[in-house]
Amino acid sequence: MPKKVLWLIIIFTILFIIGVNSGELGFLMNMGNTI
Amino acid sequence: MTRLRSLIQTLMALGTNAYLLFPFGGSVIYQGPLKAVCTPGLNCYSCPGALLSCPVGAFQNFMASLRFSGGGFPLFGAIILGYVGFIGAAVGRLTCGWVCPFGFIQDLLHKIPTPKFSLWQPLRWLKHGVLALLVVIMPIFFVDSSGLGHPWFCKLICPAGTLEGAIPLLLLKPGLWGTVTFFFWNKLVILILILGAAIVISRFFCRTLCPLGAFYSLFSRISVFQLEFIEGNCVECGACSRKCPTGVVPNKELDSPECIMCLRCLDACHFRALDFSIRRPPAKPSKVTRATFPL
Repeated sequence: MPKKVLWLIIIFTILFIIGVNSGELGFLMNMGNTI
Repeated sequence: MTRLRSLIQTLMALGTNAYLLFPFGGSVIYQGPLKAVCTPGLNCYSCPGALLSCPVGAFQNFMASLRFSGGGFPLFGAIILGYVGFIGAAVGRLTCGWVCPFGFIQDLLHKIPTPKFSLWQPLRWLKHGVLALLVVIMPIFFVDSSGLGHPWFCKLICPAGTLEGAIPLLLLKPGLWGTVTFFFWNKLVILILILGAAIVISRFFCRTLCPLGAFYSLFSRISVFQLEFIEGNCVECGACSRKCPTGVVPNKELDSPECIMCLRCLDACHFRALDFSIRRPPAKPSKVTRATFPL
């Protein structure tokens, strides 16, 4: 597997983990009601 | 392979829309904890059966929320960027071919026996414009009188939203007819045109308008999985390109941003000139050392 894609996967995983642990999941959960 | 793909598409379409309590007095839209997770494909989170959120809708809300972040980066955006970025880097447009419920609907429509047409190729660029304009730029800059940005792709175009969200909701809750505006009728016309086009042109929406497909296509040249071409086995019979639903010529356009990795070309090739594999690192050019001569 090329290193470039491996780094991208690691960066996106870290971003996701940061987002999940930020406590902002509620925002996403409520969107179903707003649209 | 085709049967396996159809089975997975069916399971994903039913699985992501598996909330069945709406006709039995439960909430019309599922509002439980699973809504915090996005589906990898295009599936409206306002669909009465939807268990998961739509990544395109979530991303537009993230862009709209940037106005209120006070110059900071809203961490809610990290979830969405991380999620769609991970899927894109890992599997790219394989998601479109195997998982997306709206892609599956188009596959079924294209089976209706009618004369079939090929797509005018420049239309393929339109989806990148839709991604840039309706999903990124307009939610940030086009705001209402209260300063709120809107998910403009959902409001103006999204056929999945009309088919899976608006129409079922209006049927289940007739009281909602009073809230119907120009946007609904506009999207209904667009839905009819897109579904009609999908009957005669395979994967019409995916190839021309889908912003999620446009985003995933950015990873086509680097994603983990790839279509491999074994040149020595190819007799250039053209069977692969005739079967391709997105008009790709696999033996000439490897890693095409249009390839949805449905693998129909693999089934069509009787000479094993195509293979599906994990991408290998590019081969390093061998070092050429210059001979030095003593002066």
